Amino acid sequence: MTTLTWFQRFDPVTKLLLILCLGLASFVIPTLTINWLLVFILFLLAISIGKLSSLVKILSFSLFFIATMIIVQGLVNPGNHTLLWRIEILNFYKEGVNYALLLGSRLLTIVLTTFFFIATTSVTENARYLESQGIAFKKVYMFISVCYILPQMMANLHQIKLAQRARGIGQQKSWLYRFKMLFPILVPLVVKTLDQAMTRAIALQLREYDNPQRQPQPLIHHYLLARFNHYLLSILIIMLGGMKVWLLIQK
Amino acid sequence: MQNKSTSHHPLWKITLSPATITLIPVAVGINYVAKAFAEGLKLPVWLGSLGTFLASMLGGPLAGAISGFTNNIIYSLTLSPMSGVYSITSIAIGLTVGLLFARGWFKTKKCILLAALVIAVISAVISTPLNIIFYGGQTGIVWGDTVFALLVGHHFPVWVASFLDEFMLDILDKIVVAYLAAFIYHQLPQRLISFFKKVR
Repeated sequence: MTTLTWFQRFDPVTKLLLILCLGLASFVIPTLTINWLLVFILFLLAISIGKLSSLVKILSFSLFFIATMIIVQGLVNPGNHTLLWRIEILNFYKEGVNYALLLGSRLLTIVLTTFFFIATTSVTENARYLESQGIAFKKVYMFISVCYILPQMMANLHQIKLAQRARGIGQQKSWLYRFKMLFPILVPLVVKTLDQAMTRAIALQLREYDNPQRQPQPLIHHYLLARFNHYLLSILIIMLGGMKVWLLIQK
Repeated sequence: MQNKSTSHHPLWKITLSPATITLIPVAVGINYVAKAFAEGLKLPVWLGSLGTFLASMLGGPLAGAISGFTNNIIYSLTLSPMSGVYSITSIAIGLTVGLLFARGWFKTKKCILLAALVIAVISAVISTPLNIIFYGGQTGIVWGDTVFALLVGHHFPVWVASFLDEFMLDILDKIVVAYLAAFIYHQLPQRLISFFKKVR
């Protein structure tokens, strides 16, 4: 029997509740330093999982966005009055920069906790766990089938692109031409995909996909204290939600 | 255009038939591929709601809303973590398209333009508070955020600047998607339309 890593011991629902819990916590914590400390801890956890290229990919857009927030809020935030630094004619203010950093820390908290889920949970694991928790197979199927349809659609897109290129429809610089390109490529792709969906639906019906005698697939891992984690995190989420509402009322 | 549709189907009803559980994932797939294709062509639009529009037209407002919601949740758990926040906007788009389509707003070119305007306004109204809560009012699109910065710099209220930032980005996208979805719907064979009407 293979040894489970620490993150494989947590079930998918615990991980989803953790995203919600830490996301809410970042909105309740008022101090910038504690928020960034939380981000730092989450970053270390993310690194410990491995999959660094995925982490860099998922963080790159967020970091670019945070940089634009620091520029925009630092320059024009309505609460700005303490000059922090000056670059040529541009004045950056402390209040705006701090506000952008606070928003940035919340953004990174959500992104890093979601990365934890993405990097450690497979589609099959998700599907099996949701079904074991009593969610109807129809709903689980609907959710996971997207993951199986996408590669098929991308292959169809590639095929249609090649066929249209062979007919002389290439890329041009003008926007109008590029908009026109939508019709010979996207329209056949969508029609073909809907047609394949109809065939799939008929096949599902013939195979009695909603047979009430169907037995759920066994779980991939034995999870650690799953029910306890769900209760604990749910209570924390309610408490954090209540605290946030209370803080808003106090304002 | 939607004369092909059948008026006897109840608007606010959905059953998890095989047609539904294949239409919704396909709509999510169309959203994904259309977005990837628009990015590939470097178009100034996202097209990421094309599938939601088609699901609403074929399966009604609820099918569209579920497609929109599922799309954002799957996106947030696979590619872009913050997409989940905007699932409310996608639900609203799905409901609005389904409702407008049933009311005949996708019949003529002028009506489609009007429908796209309504959808863009609804999308911007719902997205604006989310943009303010999570991003201080910005959208993350450089030219939209430049307008936001200029407006806030000229002492416009943050929510007005944020709304205009979002609306400017939404309007062109929704016009293109509305016309494209109506065109595709018109190209679909009758057997396909009738089959997916079983969703309701």
